[in-house]
Amino acid sequence: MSERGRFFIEIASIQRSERGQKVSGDVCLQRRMGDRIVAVLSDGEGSGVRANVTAGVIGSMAINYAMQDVAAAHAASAIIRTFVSARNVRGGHATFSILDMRANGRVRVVEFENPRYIVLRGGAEYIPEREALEVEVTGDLRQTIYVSEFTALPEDRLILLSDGVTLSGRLTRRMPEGWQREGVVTFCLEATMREPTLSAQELGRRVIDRAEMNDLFSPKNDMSCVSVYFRRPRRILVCTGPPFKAENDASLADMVAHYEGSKLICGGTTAQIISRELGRPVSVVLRRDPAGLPPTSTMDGVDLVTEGVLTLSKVKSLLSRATATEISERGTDGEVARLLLSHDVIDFVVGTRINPMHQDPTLPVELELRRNLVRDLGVLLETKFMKHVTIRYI
Amino acid sequence: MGKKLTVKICTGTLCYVMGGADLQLLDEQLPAELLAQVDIMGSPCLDCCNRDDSAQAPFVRVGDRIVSGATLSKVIEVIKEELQKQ
Repeated sequence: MSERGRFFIEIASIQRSERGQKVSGDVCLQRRMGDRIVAVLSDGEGSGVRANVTAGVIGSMAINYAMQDVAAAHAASAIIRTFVSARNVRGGHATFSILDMRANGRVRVVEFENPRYIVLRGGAEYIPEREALEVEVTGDLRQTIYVSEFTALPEDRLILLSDGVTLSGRLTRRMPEGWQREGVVTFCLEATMREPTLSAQELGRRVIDRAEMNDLFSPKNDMSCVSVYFRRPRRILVCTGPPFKAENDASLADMVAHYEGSKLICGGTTAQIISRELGRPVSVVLRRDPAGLPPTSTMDGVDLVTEGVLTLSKVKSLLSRATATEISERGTDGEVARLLLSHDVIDFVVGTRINPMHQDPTLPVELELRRNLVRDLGVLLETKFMKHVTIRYI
Repeated sequence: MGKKLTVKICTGTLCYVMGGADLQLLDEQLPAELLAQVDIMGSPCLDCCNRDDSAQAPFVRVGDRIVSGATLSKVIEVIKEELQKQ
């Protein structure tokens, strides 16, 4: 997948809703197809549920057109004709940006009235040329879309914003005109200068946090930021389940010892096996978990040790519920989810030995089969969170 | 003063769903005079549920003795017995 290209494309979307609204009127959608990622940031007219539905439909239209390789101008005009023809008197209407990226670095952006996208390269802003295209909406009504193409370089960053971010802080004494696009550029340049390897997720979160602060912590508009980072992949090894044959215990432990990247062990027996083989003690941190999950443990050279199927099952449901890449749950499920999402390449090693007692029908909770659980989790991480996932059974 | 008695609570999947979650509160439930004489620890898995006997989860190890079908009161009783032996 992206590994076949020059670099990994990390992509994250962070959002806040306008004060008083439960759902955002901005929608960020992203889809990975082979070595290609398409992402859309659409801003529905107004706020709340109505705007969310409009933005959601625009997002899916844009993604589906892109997937079928329909010319960008044609796709954009179809969307605009559907949603912008009934332009209301106040002039507010749906807007969108479509981002189409390949692992070889080719990037194409189609924009309709969202703040212009930002590219940071080598500590400065890089402004790709963009072409204006006129789109006929109805008879005399015409709209302009902008199309641009460029080739990303390693360490480039790309940022899409909704106007809630650039307009944040407007009418305050500190910034009467709002934060503006230039303010965001300066902020991102400073942040990446101080921490050059800042993840896309973290940079996006900081942008949105600052925008929220500009509005004195009471957002006057929906705020969204899609943050992209073209970089060398970050890897994590996830070991869960005891090997089917005990003679493979040593090779499992060997993988943990020699893996280059972060390490996560999900499973009590698995942790015991690795602890025994490597001679590294594992100690349980006895405490109440906010999510009601079994406690975590610590082991030298391993980032996190947790229980197996209960934890993974909660992580799966948390990740399938999540509407953005920002996870705020404080329990072990949140901790594992954040750990997984902070990596690009996730290598699962699944031991397939089954504990027959887990299949007892009188158990008070249903324990999922580890193999199915990891397969579902892998699909979720790959399709929804754009990770490169491998699963190996032992 | 002699060595403290080790109490290991299994926090594996099966033990946890069978009631082991409550056992983690042992240190809050244990009378102070007993608490001073034990070391309470967790174990990722005591490997008891894999054995083919009819013993029931959750499991706790008190010294060298395995307590099956463990409840707070049962574990406290066993701790008292084991301390008396010492």
